[in-house]
Amino acid sequence: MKFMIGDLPVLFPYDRIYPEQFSYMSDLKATLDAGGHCVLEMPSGTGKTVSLLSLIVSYMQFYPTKRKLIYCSRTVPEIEKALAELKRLMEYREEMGAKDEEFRGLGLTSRKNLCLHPEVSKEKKGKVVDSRCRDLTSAFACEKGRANPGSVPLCDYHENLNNYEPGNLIPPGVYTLDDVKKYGQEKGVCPYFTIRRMMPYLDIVIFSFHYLLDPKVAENVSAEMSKESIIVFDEAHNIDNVCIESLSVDLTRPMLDSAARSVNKIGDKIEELKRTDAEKLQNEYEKLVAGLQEANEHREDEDMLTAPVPSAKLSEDMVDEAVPGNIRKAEHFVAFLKRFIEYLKTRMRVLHVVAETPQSFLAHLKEITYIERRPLKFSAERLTSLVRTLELTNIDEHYALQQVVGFGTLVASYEKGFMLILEPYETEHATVPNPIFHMVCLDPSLAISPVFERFSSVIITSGTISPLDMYPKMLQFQPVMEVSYPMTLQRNAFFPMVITRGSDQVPISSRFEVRNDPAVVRNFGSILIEMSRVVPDGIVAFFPSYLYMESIVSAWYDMGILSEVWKHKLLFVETPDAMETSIALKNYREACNNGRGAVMLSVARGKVSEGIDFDHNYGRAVIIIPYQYTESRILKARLEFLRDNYRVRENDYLTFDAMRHAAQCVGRVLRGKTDWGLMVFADKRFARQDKRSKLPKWINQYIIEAHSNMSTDMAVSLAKKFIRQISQPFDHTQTGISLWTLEDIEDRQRKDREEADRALRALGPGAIQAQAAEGMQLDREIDGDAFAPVEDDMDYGDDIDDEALVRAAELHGMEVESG
Amino acid sequence: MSRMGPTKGVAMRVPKNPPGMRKPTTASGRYGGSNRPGGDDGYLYVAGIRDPSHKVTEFKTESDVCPVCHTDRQFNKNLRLLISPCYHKMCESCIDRLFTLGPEPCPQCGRILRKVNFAHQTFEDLKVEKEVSVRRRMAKYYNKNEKDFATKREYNDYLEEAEDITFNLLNDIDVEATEARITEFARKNAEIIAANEKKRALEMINEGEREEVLRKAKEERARMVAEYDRKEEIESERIQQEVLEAVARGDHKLAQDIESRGKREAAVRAEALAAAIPPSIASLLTDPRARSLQASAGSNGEHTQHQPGSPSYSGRFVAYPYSDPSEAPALRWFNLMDDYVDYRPGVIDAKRNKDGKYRGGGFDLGQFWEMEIRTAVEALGIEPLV
Repeated sequence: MKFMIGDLPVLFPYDRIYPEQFSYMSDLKATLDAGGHCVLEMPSGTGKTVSLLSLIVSYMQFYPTKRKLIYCSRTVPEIEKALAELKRLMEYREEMGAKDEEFRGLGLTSRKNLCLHPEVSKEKKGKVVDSRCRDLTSAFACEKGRANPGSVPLCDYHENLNNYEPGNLIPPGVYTLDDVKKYGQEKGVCPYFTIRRMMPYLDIVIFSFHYLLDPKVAENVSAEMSKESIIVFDEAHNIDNVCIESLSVDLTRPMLDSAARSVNKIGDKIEELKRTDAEKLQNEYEKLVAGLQEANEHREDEDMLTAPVPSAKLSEDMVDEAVPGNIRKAEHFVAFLKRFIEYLKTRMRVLHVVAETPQSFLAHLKEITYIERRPLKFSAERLTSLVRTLELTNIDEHYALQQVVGFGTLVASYEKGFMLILEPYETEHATVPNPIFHMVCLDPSLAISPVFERFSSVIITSGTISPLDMYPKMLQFQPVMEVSYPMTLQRNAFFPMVITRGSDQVPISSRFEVRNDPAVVRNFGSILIEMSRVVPDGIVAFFPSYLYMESIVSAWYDMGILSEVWKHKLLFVETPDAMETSIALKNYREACNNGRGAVMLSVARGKVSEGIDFDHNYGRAVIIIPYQYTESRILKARLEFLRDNYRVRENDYLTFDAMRHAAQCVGRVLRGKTDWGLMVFADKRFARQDKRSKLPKWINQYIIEAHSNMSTDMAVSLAKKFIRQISQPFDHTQTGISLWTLEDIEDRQRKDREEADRALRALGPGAIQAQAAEGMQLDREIDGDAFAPVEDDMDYGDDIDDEALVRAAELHGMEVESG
Repeated sequence: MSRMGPTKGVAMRVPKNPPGMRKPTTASGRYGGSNRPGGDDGYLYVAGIRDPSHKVTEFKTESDVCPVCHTDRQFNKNLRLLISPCYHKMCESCIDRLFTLGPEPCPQCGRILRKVNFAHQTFEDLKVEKEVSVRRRMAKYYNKNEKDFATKREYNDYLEEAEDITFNLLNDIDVEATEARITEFARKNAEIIAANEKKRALEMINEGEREEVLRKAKEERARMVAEYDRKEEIESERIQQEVLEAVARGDHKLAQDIESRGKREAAVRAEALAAAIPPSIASLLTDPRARSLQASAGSNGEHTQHQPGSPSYSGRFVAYPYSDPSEAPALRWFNLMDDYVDYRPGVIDAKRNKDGKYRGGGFDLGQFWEMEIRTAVEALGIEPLV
C-alpha cells in the first residue's frame, strides 16, 4: 500500500499495517528530518524491520540528497532475514512503478560464510579461513603471483575480480548472501571481495554490529562511509556489551606462551631475512624513520591486524608522529615484545587478585622493565608493518601475539574508562591457578562515540530496550527522540503473571540466601509441574545460570519432581556446548510438533535466550527465575565507573540489566500478533513496582496489580482460564484496531490534523508560530493520547470476573508496602 | 685459573679481576656497586628486581633442579634457586656451602663470584633478566625526555641510539667502544641527566599522592552513599506513616499529595548525591587554584608585614620568652566566637545542668573550647631549645 507521511510517499509491501508500525515510521521520519539520533522500542514480532526498511528506502529515494543506509544486526540469520525483507520490499516497489534503477543492497559477513575456494571453504574455523584467504589474496602474494605465474598459489575467484570494472562488480539490485554466493559461483568471482569492494557504491549495507563498533575491523570496512549515512542498530538491547567487548582483551597463560613462540619465530624470520634480503628491512626502517603515514599507504585488505583502538583516538597524537626510535629496528622491536611478554608472565604468577588502573600498570611496567608508554602504544602499528615486511603467511598462528600487542596498545592509549584486573583463579574455590589478565573497558561510549560523531543519524532500536533513558546515559549521546510503542492487540494474546509464593505460602525468590532452600526449590518445581499439566505444547524455563540450573535439576530429580513432569512433557536442557544445545532444540521442536509437548530448561543470557524464537506452539509459556549477579570484580568496577562518571546508581544498573534480560527471555515466546503465550515471573522481587516499571511498556501494560502477587495455585487456575479463553475460535483478519488499511491511516491522519488545529486555536494566534516549531513534539503527544482509548478497549475485565480480586490485591499490596 | 673454560662472553674478562685483589663488598654494593662501569665487577649486572608493590613475585616452578647439587623440588620443598651475576642458577644451600668463606669460582663457568651478588629470579627467561639489569644501568644515564630535543626526529634518533648501545652491551659487541660512548654521553649531558633524575623522583611522589587522594575519595564516596541510604530509609518510613495517617482519616487526596511530593524530593536528593563531589577531590580541584592565587598575591608585593607572633607573620623570626598563660602572645592568635556548635561527636560529654546551661565535664563550654584552642597554639612562637 502507498500512503503519505507528511510530504513523503511511503511504499509499504503489505495491504495492512499495524498502528504501531505507522507511528514508528512517523517518528523515524521526524528523526531523519531533524538529523539526530533516536532510541525506539517496538515489540518483537510487529514488523520492525520491514517498517524501518520501507520508510528509509522511501526516504532515500524521494529526497535528492543521496543518503546511504547502514543497517546493523546481531547475527547472520538476522542479517539474512533483513536482506530477504529488503528484497521483497524492492520487488514490491518495482511493481508499484517506483524508479529504483542503480539501487544496490548487499549484506556483508565473514569470509567463512562466503568463501567459494574449493579448499579454503572446507576449513571449519573462521580464523583459519581468514588467514588462508589472506595468504592467497594479499597484495604481496598477488604481486608475486602475477609477475611470475605459478610461483605463489592464488585464489582464482579473487583474481577474476580484476576482469570487472571496479564499482560495477555486480549488477544493481538487492542480493541476499546466498544470491551473492550463487552469482559468484556463476561468474567465478569471490563473493566476499565483491561485497567489500562494492561497499562505497552501495545504497544499503547490512552487516553485524562489529563492522561499525569493533575498531579492529571498523577501520577498514566502514572508513569510506559518508557522513550523511543513516545508521541503524537493530536488536540493540545489548549494544553496550558489544561496545565493551570490542575494546576489552583477556590474556591467559597459554596465550602468553604462544605469543612468546610467535615472537621467537618472527625473530628467526628477521635473522633469515637479514641474510637473504637485508634491503627490505632497511626499506621498512627508512619508511618508519620518515613517518607512519607513508608506511600505512597500502593496507587495503589487511583487516584483523590493525590497532584495536579507534583511529580517532590514535590519530590525536599520531598524525605527525613517527614510530618511536627504540622500536624502529626490527630486532629492537622483537626484544621489546619479548620483554613485555616476560613481564606479563611475571605478573600472572601472583596468586592474589589485583585491580589497577592503566596508569599504575604503566608505572609499574616502567619501573620493572623500562618499557615506556609511547613504544607500547605504537606496538600494534609496528607489528602490522613488520608482518607486512616479512610477508608472513598463516597469520592466525600469531593470533595470541596480536592479542598481547593489542592489550599493550589499549593500556597505553586509554587512561580513563579502563581497568586491569588479574584473576588468578577461575572460581572462588579453585585450587589450581588459571590466571586471566583482563583489560576491561568500563565505558561503552568509547567504542560507539566515533559512530555518533561521524554520522548524523543513528537509530537504536529493539524489541526490549527499556528503560529508554539508560542508553543515552551509558552511550553518551543526545537523542532527539525516545519512544516506546505499546502493542495493540485484538485480545489479550499474552498473559504475564508474577508468582511470589508457592501453594504453601513460602515466598519464592532466587535471592542468593534462600535459593537453595528446599522449600524454594520445591516451589519452583511445583510451578513447573502445574504448568506442564495445564499448558499445551512447549514451555521454556529460564534459569539464572548453568550452575544454579544444574543444582536445581538434580534436587528436582531427588524430590521426584522430574518424574512428575515427565508424565506430561519431555524435558530438554541447554548446555554450554552449542552443538548439544542445537540437538536438544531440534528434538524439542519435534516433540512440540507432534503434540507431545516439551519443556526446555535454559539459561538467561545463554544462546537460547538471545537468538532462538519460540513462536506459536514452540512456546506457550515461559517461566523466568530472574538473574542473580555473581559479584564479579569486573562488574563491580563497571558499576563504580557508571556511578562516578555517568551518575547511574549501582542498583539502577543492576535492575536495568536484570530486567532487560528478563524482557528478552519472555519476549522469546511472543513473536507476532497471532501468537499467544503465558509469561510467568517466578520471584517475589517482581512484585515491586520499581522493578516492574523497568520492563518494556508493551509487557508492563498488561501486568495488572491482581496478577502481580500470586501464589502458585492462583496462578494455575488463572492460566487455565486464560488458555481456555484464548483457544476460542477467533477471526485473525479483523482490521481497524490492530491492523489498519489505507483508509484507517488517512482517517487517523485527518484526526491528527484536526487535533493539532484545535490545540493551536485553543492556544491563541500568538502560539501558532511557536507551536509550528515544536510540531514534531506535539504530533507525538497526540499519538500517545489517541492510543489511550484503544488500550482501554483492550484492557482486561471483559469476562474474567476479578474486580473483587483486584480490590483484594490492592488491599494486600497496601499491607505489604506499609509493613 | 687454568681450569676455567672461557665458554661465555662474561667469562672472558675474568683474568682482569684476580680474586686476590677483591675487597669484600659491603651491603651497599649490592645494587649500586656492581653496576658501576669499571667497578670491580666489570660488566656484570646483578639481577633481582626490587618491587615494593609486590605485584611480581619470585620465579619458581615445580621442575626446579639445582644444577650443582641436583636437588629438586620433590626432595626439598623449599628449594630456592638464586642466580649469579653470570646468570647461572644455584640453590641456596650450595651458595652457602661454596661462598661463605669468600669469593670462589662459579662451578659452571668459572667466573669468580661472591655470595652477596646472588639475586633472586623474577623473569622466566634469564636473557630478559639480564636485559633488565642492563637497562637499569642505562636508565641512569639515558633518561632524556622529549622536551630535551628540538624535534621529534632527533628524539627518536636518540632513542634508537640508546637502544643500540643497550644491544651492544647485551650481546657483548664492541664493549670497550660502547663503554666509551656511555661515559662520553654521561659527561656531556651531566646536567640534564641530574635534572631529569630529580624530575622523575618528584613525579613518582606526585603519583603516589594522587593515588592516595583517589583512594580517600572512594572511601568518602562510600560513606556518603551509606549515609544517604540510611536517611532515605528513615524518610520513606516517615512518608509511609503520613500516608497511612491520611488514609486513615479518609483524605485520599492528601495521601496522594504526600506520596508524590515525597517521590519528587527523593529524586532531588538522589540527583544531589550523584552530583556531590567527595571533599578530598574537591580540595584537589580547588587547591591548585587557591595556591596559585596566593602565590600571585604574594608576587604582587601586596603582603603586609604582620606583627611577630601573628600567624601570617613572615618576617624574621623573633623569639619571645615563655610567660604567664593569660599573658601569652598566643592569645592574639585566635578570636573566640560567642557561639559555636561542636560537630565532633564524643569529644566532650556535654550535659544541661539545673539552670539550663550546657556544661562539658563540669566546665563552661566556652572555657572548654578556649582551653582546647589554646593548647593547640601554645608555645608555637617559642624558640626551640638548642
